[in-house]
Amino acid sequence: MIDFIKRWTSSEHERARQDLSAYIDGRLPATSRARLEKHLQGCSECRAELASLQETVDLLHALPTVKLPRSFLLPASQAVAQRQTRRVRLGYSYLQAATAAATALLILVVSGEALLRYQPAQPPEASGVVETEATAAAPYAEPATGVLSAVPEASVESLSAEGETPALAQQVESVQAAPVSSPQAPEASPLRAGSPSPGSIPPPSGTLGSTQTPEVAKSGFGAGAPANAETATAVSTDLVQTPTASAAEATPATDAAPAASSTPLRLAAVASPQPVSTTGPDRMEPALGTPTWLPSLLMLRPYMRGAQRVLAVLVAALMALTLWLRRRAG
Amino acid sequence: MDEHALVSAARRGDVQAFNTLILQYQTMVFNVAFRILHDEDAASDATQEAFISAFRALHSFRGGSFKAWVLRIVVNACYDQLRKTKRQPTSSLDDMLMDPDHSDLLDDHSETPEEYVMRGALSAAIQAGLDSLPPDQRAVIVLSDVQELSYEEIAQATGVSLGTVKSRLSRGRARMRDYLLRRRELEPMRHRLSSG
Repeated sequence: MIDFIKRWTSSEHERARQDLSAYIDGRLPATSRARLEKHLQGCSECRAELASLQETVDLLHALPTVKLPRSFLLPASQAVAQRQTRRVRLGYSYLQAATAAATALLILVVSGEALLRYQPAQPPEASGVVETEATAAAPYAEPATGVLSAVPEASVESLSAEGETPALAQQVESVQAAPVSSPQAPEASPLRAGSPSPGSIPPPSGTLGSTQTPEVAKSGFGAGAPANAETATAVSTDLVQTPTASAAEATPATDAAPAASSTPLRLAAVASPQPVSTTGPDRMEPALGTPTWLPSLLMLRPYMRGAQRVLAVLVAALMALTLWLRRRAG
Repeated sequence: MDEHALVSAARRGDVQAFNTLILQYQTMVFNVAFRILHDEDAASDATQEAFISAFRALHSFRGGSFKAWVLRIVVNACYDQLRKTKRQPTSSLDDMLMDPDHSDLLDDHSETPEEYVMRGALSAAIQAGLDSLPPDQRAVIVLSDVQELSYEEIAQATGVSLGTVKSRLSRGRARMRDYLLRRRELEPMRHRLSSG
């Protein structure tokens, strides 16, 4: 109980001491003033402190006014200086805005360029790609389950005209016997000619490999073009030899094989006017929702590096000019 | 012409109108600078700089108390001066008494030599006490107890809240009181006040 009274009186004493200065100036609220005056009646220490503070304030009030050593009137030329200062400050505010705008544009270009890095490396330009839907089902890393891509009808016809069909048919048979064929691929991969898919990209040449069996190829090309279908199947079987040794052994006598296998690859690389499909489940899906403005934005990509440099120089120059003007404007 | 009209004319580039305002406030502005800096040359520089800055920045004056606005500029100029010179004046009482220029600055020359000495000694002691305060407390004490500005004007001139003004004033006065008590200046002042 005694401790509580001591603490209470101590806190009251501290509060009273803090209020003394405002009390001298008459700036204490009525309730605080009444409490302080009540405390002062019973606290000689606070009364003494109030008196000494009041004397200090009186001393400060008594300080003499110091005479001016000179006049501080401004000359008439200050009017010109005022106009100049106003102009400089106006220019400074414009420069600030320009610097902010250039900086924002630089950030936009840098971030845009960074974002576009994740888009297809080569914007496709030509058509004539044949692709399989088996690519979606087949693992990308598996050599025997790659993508058959790009067998234009023109090349197929030329091959047929050269009379290579019997030899190619042999190759088809040998490929049928080859162990590299994927059992799942036939069901899942009907060939689709002349229908490039938007938003897809050509597969890398090193990963290409076709696992289409002749039956698959025939069914994929349809009954309307049996000869072409056979030839195309033969060509696609040639593609198998590239990644797999077994396929290579199966077609030792085909003179047209190297050319036939390289042609579709090249065509696939040239690609269609729209992006071509990816080759595995871990790639980007053929973007059905790909924005139409993306290709035009991709066209700007080569200029972005240059734009970044120009903007960086511009921002640096604007910042230097702004700092200089700020110093001048004071 | 009232103060508002003078400010408007000065804002349009009328130097004479601004000089009228300077005539009205230059003594107060110089005294504030002198009490904060305790150096006549530095106070003159700060005062002149404050008036030039005020004239050039009149377009940014949004109304209110022109006196408080100018005082804010001069207080900031004083802070800049203190930062530049890192001055912590520790002038002794004897230095102040022996300084012939200092006596010329005093207003009242109609007093006896004894009163003059007493007054000079007291002024020097009080100024030394002010010099011992931190700059923010010093500025508030000068504006409140020397120039007798209201709390609101002090808050505007120093750019702080009313509560901060109160607390700085309370701490500054307590420190001043302690300083003067250590220097035993309150006893003769008490005697002088009672006899006067």
